[in-house]
Amino acid sequence: MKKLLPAGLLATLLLPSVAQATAWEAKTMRAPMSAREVERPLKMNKGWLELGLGTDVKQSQGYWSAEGEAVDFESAEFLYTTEYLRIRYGFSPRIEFWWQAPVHYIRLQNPALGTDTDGMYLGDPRFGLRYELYRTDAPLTSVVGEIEMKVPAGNEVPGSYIAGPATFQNFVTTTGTPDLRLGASGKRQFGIFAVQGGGHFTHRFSGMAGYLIETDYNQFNARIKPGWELDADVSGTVQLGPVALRAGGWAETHSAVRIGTTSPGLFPDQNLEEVEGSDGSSYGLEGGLTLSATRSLDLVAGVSHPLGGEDLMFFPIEDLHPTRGTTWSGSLEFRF
Amino acid sequence: MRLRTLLSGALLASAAMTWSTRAEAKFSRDYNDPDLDWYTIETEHFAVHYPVSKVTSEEGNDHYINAEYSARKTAKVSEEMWPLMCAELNYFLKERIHVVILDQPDRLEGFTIPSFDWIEISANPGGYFYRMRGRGEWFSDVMIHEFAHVVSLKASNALAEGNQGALIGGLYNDGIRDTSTGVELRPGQGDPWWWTEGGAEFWSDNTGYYVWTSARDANIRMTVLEDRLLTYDEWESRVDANDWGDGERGYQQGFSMALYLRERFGDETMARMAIEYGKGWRPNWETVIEDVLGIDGRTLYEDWRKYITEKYEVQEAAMIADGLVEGYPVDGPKPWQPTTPDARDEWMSESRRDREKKRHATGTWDIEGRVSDDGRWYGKNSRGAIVVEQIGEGGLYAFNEGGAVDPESAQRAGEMSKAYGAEFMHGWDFIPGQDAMVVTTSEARDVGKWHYWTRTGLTTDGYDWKALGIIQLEPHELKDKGRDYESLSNDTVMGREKTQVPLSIIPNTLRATDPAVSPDGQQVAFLQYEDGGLNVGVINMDGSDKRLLTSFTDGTMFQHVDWSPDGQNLVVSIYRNYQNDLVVIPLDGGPIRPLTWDAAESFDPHWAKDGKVYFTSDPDGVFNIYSVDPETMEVLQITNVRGMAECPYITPDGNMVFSMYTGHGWKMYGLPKEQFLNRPATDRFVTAPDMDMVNASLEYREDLSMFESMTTRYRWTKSMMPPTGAPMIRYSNDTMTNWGVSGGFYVFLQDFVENHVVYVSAELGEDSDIAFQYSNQTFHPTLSLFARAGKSKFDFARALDADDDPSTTDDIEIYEAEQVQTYAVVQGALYYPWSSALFVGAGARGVTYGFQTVSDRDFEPFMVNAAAFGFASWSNISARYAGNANPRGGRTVDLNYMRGFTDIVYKGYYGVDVDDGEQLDAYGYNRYEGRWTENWAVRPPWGWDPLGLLGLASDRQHTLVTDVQVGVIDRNVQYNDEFRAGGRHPYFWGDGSIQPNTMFAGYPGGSLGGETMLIAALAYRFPIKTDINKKIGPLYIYDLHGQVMGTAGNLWSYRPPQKAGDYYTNRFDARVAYDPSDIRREIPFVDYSYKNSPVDPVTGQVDKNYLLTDAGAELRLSASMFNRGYWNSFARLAYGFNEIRGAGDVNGDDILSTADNGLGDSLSNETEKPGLRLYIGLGTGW
Repeated sequence: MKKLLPAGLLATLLLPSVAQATAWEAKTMRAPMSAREVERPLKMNKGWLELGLGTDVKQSQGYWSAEGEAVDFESAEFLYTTEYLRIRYGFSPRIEFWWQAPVHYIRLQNPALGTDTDGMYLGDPRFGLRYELYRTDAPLTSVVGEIEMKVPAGNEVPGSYIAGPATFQNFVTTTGTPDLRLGASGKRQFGIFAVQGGGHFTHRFSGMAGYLIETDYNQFNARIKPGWELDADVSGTVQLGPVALRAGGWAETHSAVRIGTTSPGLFPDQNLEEVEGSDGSSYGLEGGLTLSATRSLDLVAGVSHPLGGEDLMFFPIEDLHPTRGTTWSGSLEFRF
Repeated sequence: MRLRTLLSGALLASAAMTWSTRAEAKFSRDYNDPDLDWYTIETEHFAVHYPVSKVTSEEGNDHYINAEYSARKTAKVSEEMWPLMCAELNYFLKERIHVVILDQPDRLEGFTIPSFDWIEISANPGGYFYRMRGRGEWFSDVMIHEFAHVVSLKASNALAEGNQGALIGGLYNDGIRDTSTGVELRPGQGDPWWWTEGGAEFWSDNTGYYVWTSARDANIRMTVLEDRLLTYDEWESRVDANDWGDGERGYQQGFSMALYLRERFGDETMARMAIEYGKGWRPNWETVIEDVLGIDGRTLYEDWRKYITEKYEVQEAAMIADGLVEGYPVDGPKPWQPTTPDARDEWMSESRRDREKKRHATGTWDIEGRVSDDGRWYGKNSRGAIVVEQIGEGGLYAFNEGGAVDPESAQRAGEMSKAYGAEFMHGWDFIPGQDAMVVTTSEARDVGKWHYWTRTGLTTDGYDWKALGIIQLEPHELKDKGRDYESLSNDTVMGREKTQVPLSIIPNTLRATDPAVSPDGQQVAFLQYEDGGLNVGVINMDGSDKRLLTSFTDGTMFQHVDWSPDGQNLVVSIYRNYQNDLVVIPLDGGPIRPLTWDAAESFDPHWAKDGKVYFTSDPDGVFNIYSVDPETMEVLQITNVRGMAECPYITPDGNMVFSMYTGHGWKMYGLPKEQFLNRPATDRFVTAPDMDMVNASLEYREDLSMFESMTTRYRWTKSMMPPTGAPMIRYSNDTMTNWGVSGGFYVFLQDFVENHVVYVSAELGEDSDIAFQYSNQTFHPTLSLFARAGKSKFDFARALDADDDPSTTDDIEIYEAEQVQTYAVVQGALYYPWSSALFVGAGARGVTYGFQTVSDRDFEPFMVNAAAFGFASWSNISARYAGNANPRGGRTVDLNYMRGFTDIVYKGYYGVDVDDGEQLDAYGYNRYEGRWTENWAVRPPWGWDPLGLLGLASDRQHTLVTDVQVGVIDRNVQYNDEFRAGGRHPYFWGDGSIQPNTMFAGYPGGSLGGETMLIAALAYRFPIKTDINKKIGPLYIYDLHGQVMGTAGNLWSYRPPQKAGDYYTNRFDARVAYDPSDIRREIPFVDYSYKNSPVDPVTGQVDKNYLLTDAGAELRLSASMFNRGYWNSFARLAYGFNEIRGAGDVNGDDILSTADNGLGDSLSNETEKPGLRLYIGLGTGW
């Protein structure tokens, strides 16, 4: 079912279009959409629905130590990919809803241990709202407020745990906890150039996590509360015909993780204790290319490379403790 | 240590919750139409879809339809009005609008869902339309109104059209404090009712299609003069106020306001409001007024109110000065027309609400008054029932005002009347010389008494067309309070009786209406409907010799035919080319002769025995009764009223009964012949028109042949509606678990004639669920295919007892755990609406349940279930009660049968499970379930009310509700297959065994289980404050009701062997019978329910629960939010009197006890003490 989810949804949605149905006619209420990326606002224009199919691929070489040192895997090769369906919808003149459902294909090979484990799993969906705070056109200025939820639908069962973490059979693709992310972003056009940046704060709720397993019976779990996170990014774009080239950087810092047993009631994380050294920060560079084939179709390619970081790799969950490696991404964005 | 896997009740319930919407559930029609082909006329801006029967009438099809003319006319007027309406709002549509012509039913229909680009209209407007609005060009009137909605609501829609708002809500369960709190919000488009409907009327006027007719003017005039204007708060809400006429009043108040805005602020004011609202969503529409006009909405309302009040008071003063001729109520004086100061003071001392109710109670839709030729019977059409009564001593009260008629006697005669079911506003007539009458009825009424009362008449084709029927009056000699009566009612205590029989349909009269019986009683004149138009015909009383006297095929409408006294001519009102006139049609085939041919609307003609034709007309802007002498063509004005005087009928004595429109409904009035105004009025009508012009007009046929080349067969692939849906954000939480947030969306998609319907929903999060539904509605019955899959992260804790000895508690440790549970459902079913009340279905489904613990790499299936099911659901609770907190009548009976097969497949249990002492592997079972719910309006039974309390309760709208639920499963089954009961929150995401939510609300949801179920519940509802009708920001509050309720009953199971030696204990310490026949079915009430009875862990003593009881009380708030649908809320407190043991986390602390109960069932020995449970729902319904 997991593999079929995006394909099934897409098939359902696209089926009538094959028949040239009126269902997909342009409507009067749709706001105009620029054919050039540099002129497009950060919020999806009213009435437009964008379906994005994309993938991120990372071949990790190692991880960052808690002291910020780049540590290479001794013999492991870790491939972490994300395939996602993303829906953006221009809900009103000022509001965009979006929803993203990922699946992950993950493979860990360790010739030294003679292990080769792989699998595909549902990831954590994200959904959110962008509210347009300020907007001008020609030249474009777009400022949006953002609110976003991440919910723990992903796999948090590591499989047989009897022999310890080294023998896990499943990859965990969720923190097991929800996140609430708030922030703002802005974009300003200067002719064929645009500058874009934003900053966000993420509050990470606590939750029971299936991957935190007590050792007495190897059957019971603990509660985890990942630390809050602050992130910022800035980038510049240049439009060359139908192609937009983008380059920029990002940075984040996060507080320590807390773990423990649940306390009943509305505030279940009162018993949690901090995991020492689990706070830290990281930063990197990113770039990309957007080819606007038509007003309704974009091809997007990107790359993100971490330059530095610090982490306590007490459990291999990418959302909490990303391994070190360059992420290559590509997506196809279809709008109507 | 015993660690067993329990599937959470919520998960199972949600998995079992399969699609169960009513069958053949089209937007305006409950039946599929497999007998029809559909065609499409494609114009530049519209696609008009219309039906044609596959089998012709020549081939024997009694229900042949062909809506080609209706579709072509619609296409023409649609294209004509497109540029005009788009220009009104400077919003020129890119999308094509699809119009579906309905010709299958015989009732008025017209609606649009603008975001679907969809208009649906009936070809047959019925009779209701004209009297309320005036004039009669159905296709242009309905299309311009709906198209005005399309353009104005699209232009004003701040939201993208593909969404239906957003769905935000959740449920918080605190099992320790026994509270469940649910909230639901659905922000979306929130334009107010007055602006939406008044705007559609206004733009129709502004584009030249509508005018402010005399009927509209009378509506608002009488509303103002009788102080019935909707308040500012009332006319904001789209869910209209509930008194008589408030629906139409809302339309016309809005229209009136729009005209006022045009006059005061300019032609484009309404359009500016549309554009302003479209700039961005706001929770409260009324702020638009201030942004556009610079004054707040309430000030504007008061300004308008003052303006029209002054206008109509001036008009009334002029009418009074002219001399009112309004007659008298037919059946006695009314308290709101006091003749003495004391009577006036007494009337005014009552509350406004009570006064309103009393005025409405005397009739609101009383029209078409008739008196039999022998003067014995008087009757009227009262909202779809012909109410007939004996004319008492001295005649009708109205004609003897202050004279011979005792008011009490007149009133008593009215109370002893009898009501015969008939069609509303479609005419009826006494048969001269007989105690009988001819009415417009419908073919489905002719189904016999049993089928009528049970509403089980089978109409396999879905047609219920109007037809003419004969009803025999059967008088009874009665003595009441010392007086002799000849009454049609054999019930002297309960008053008016409504019945259907005896009725016989006149053959060959399908789609015939408005009967008038010839003076010799041998023939009936009528109006025959076909493809958007009417013709005039006559037929013998036995259905033979049917003749149509006109042959219009162009949407011409007629209204109210009547015979000349000599039986040689008919008089009828004709609606044609935007003009309403009276014409005489000779039966010998001679030419049609006009009596009036002018701009006035003239209708309701009655050819009296004095040779004059009495009719209704508005030459001076007010509808009054006039007479015209067909010989001299002299016209006289008979009445001079403030409202509207309609439906004149001259009694054998020469007096007149007529229908008087007031601000509180149409009332039957009488005017003695001596008081006829008889004011000359010939000069106000054109009674001698140029006959060449008349004939040219009657012979004119609009050429619509150009649409032939634009017509193709309907293709659903080219006619899909734009998909719509909404984002969904939900949360759920239990005492000790995560905040389970999920996000997703649903999408709804169908073609325009609703042959193929698809629904998809996806929510991902802590709990994830994906569902897909397809319904094929191209044949009988509807085929529905459903698939659903999901998983739930079930967080809980376990209390581990180290020594398995429940008497020692210091060795119990609490451990938390998470388990991922999954389900998948596939279902195919057939649904069929047997009648208006009975709905049946059958299908098959398969369900699998599984789970994944921390030590499982993959999901492990636990059990699979396959089942075939059938059900019948009977209900006569009107759909209008959907949001009603206090339905005061109606019954629902549900019968369900299921043949199930379950296989326990969990490898960890070696493919078996133990329940009630039996080792279960694979088994089949039969499950029978029934439910009966009855709403009883409290009133004194047979007049018995010694303390007067029942009468008081009746006056105050109290209702008693009885619920009985029974169920039997014919063998011992695993507990997941058992019946479940316990309190439910309406926001509970799933479906329990029982309804309503108040049943066993004193016990935890789903905690009670068993294979035998007997539960009865009583509830007593009463209004606390009704007609609150206050707006607070985006919230509009209607009513507050209270309810007290209680439940008694239990669920019984099978009992494991009790004798040592008859059982062994398995590895989980559960008792397992050596011989399954040693387990015994519990007998209700003879045995206590062992599964629901607590066991003392130390002494082993059982607290035997033979009967479980609870009691509770709740408040129900009826409200709406954002000018949209209901936002009904409640607070419920219930007390369970028994301590119970049950399934899962009974005590609600999220900690599952694992201590053995030693009883061989799947349950823990957790118990719930007697106590209070609180449920709160904000916007969740009740």
